[in-house]
Amino acid sequence: MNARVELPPAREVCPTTARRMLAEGALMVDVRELGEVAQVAFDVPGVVLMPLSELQERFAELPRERQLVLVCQVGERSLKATYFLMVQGYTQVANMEGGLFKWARKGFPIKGAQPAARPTTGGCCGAPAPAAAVAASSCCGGGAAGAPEAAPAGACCSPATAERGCC
Amino acid sequence: MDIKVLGTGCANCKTTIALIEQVAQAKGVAVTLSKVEELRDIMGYGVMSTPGVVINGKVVHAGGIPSRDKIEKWLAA
Repeated sequence: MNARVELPPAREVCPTTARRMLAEGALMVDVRELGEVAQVAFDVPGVVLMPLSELQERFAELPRERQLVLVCQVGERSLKATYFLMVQGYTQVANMEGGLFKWARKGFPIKGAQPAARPTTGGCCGAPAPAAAVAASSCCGGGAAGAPEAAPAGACCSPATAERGCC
Repeated sequence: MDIKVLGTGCANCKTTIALIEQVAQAKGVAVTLSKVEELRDIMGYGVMSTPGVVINGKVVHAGGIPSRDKIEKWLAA
């Protein structure tokens, strides 16, 4: 089997940056399983569906010369997929942190049912709350009516994302 | 013998560590056992399914708890 490869930290982008990258020609790769995609999907032209369970067999279908944005439900499986592609020599790969949940909270286009609030702990986004409450929170959602597109960096943002001011 | 168990802290990873410890003790083999829990480091070994087991730098197992027989063969090598 493989010898160890020393990997740099994966590039992680927020949905806002991901959307900009897509507009500039990047390709979105959704690694969720097909059953999940059937319930709710990213409404993005050309999105490639490549479930994590098929990635090892199918990754060669992905172009190496194009920027790829890996996505999933919350950004954890896609991070794994991002590292996998890095091991395979892909250099233009980025993980969209927060996944579909964060994308939808931003009010970005999806097809299907609105995903339920992500069950997390801690912080203002973490307390179990109805989806409506989360959506109404300018801190967590960033997509609430009247809220600015880019909320100020605060406790809801990951440090890496906050540095880029794109929460 | 340097053995690393790759996994993000799941129950199967803990069981794998315990099993290797048991077999090593039973066979009287001196092993240095460590955990690798950081996803970036795990993926650096090219392991998609955990637990993974690395012996002296070589991946010998990926996905699921290894059988006792398998571990005994590793430690006999």
